[in-house]
Amino acid sequence: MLPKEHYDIIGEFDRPRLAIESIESGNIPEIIIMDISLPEMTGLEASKYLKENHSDIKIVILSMHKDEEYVLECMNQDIMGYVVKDSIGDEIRLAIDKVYEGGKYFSKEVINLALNTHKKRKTRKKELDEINLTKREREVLALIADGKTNNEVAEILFISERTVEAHRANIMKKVGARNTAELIRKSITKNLI
Amino acid sequence: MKKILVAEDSIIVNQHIFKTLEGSGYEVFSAFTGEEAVNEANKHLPDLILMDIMMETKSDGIEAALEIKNTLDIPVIFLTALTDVGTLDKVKDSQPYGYIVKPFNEVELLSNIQVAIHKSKVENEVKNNRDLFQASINSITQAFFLFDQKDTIFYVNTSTESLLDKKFNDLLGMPANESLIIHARTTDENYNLDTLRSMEPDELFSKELVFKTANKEIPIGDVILKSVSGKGEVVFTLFIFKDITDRIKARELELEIDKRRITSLIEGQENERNRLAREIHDGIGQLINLVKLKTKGVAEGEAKEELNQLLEQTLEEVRNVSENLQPSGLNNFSLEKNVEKLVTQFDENSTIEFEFTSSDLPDLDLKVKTHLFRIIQEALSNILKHSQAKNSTIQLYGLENKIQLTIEDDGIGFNPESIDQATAHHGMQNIEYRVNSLNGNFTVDSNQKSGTMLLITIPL
Repeated sequence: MLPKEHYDIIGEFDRPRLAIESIESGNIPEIIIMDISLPEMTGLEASKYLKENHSDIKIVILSMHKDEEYVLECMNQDIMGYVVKDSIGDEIRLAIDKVYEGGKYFSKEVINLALNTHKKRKTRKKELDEINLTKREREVLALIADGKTNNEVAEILFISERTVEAHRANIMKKVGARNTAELIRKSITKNLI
Repeated sequence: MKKILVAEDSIIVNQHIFKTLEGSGYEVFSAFTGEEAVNEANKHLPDLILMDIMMETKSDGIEAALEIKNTLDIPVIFLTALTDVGTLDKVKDSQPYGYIVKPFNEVELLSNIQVAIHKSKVENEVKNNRDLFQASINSITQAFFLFDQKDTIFYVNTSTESLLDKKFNDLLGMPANESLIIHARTTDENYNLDTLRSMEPDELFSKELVFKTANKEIPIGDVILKSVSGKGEVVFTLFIFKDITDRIKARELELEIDKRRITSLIEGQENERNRLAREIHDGIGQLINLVKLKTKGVAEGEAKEELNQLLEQTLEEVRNVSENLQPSGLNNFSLEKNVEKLVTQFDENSTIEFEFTSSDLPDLDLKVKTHLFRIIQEALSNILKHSQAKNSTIQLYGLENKIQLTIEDDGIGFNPESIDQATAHHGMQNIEYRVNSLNGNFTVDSNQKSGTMLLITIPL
């Protein structure tokens, strides 16, 4: 499908391991076109390996996946091209040319996707910076601050002691405390109790 | 006809007694020395022996009586002359049935004989009953205790002896509160004879307890506690139980087998889903892409437009089916990312506010990731369908040596006891199987006031 006058195809493999073996035996391409869902090792894992060990090789991902996390992961890995299989045909050619010249090419659909979710993430992230306790967790925290033991909390709230322990562990994680004293101190400064 | 042996060295006296007894309808044998008495007793097995204490001026009647007592258990009446009175002390060991002091008259002799034979018969019956009772009690594998009015041990059977590794004589008279150290099998609740008495017999019988001895703890069941009354008051308390070590082992084995069966079932299911997803994605998906490519050759126009649209839809459908079978993200991304996406989907497609927090998760293998993902998926579907909640919070943390997953909602709650019956809670069972297959722990805390919380911990 690629016009032969410009590019030589020096290998075709149905799994990343074989491609990597071929590369490491000296058959080094300038560009690799890589799927994501592959046997033994995913395309993303293979790309990561190649980035670390053969950083000169440029990678264009060719995938059916149109989900944000795939695209974001590829952007994080500094992968230069991402083409959705739907638009295969002219687009892959464009992508290869662009990447070969040192540019970037991402299919239009996934670019929008990535931009949108990137924005969404940002707003979400901001919310998460505040400590957001559930109703039950606030009740448990108040009782702990009151000096109640897990057992007493369990009895007051009609829940099992195991559940109280779990709530306590969750609250500590959210507040970032390692023990009860720190939990109470931080909870007070953060206006949780 | 009752048989009587007369051991008397005086021929005249011997003959006299012989005649008298024969005349009264007894079959009579004679012996003139102690040695002869033993021989004759062995030979004829008489119902009674009349034994002169002094024979041939030796007190060998006593020795003969002792030997007969030990080997044959035949009742003996001693014939004594007044001069023998000093030796009477010595004969106590042979437990004679009476003494007749010479000289005696006929009536005295006969009445003494009748009383002795009767007494021996009654005693034999009692002894036989007791032997039968002991043999029966000892033949059962259950431990058997008999406590007296003061709640001290009166009797235990051999099963109890071997269970406690103690002899009956050491246990006799031991108070119940020292000999019965019992607690519940699954809680620390302690029991004593009084608390056991206050329980309903059926409840007690079905209860599993632990019996503590000096060096081991024995699980017990099938407990029976019964008061035996006589003359209107409690005379004995009967306490019977069974060592259920084997029963518990068998049950645990059964559970283990069940667990393994279900685990491999679920694992097989996941593998199959994975295979199907891959085949659909790689096989059918690729083919459709190829078809799409070929539409380039089709003349432009409405038909081509429609064809491309249909192919687009088909491709979307293939992708959805494949994703539902096995989220491809599980192969490619961390559990956190996958769950975050899942929770966002639930959040955006329902009126419930779903929130997900996570931190400190270690790298997990695909099996753990898949199970936890499915668990969360199952739980969120349940919340969506049944809880009527407004908020739901999913938290997933790596703790010291375990992963802790909590899924809370502020809905109407449900009764965890009904997990088995309600089809709506089929999902809960599924969760439980998956947790089991990760050797984790699963509890549900639910009430109508504050909603439901699932707590799952998986050891690392």
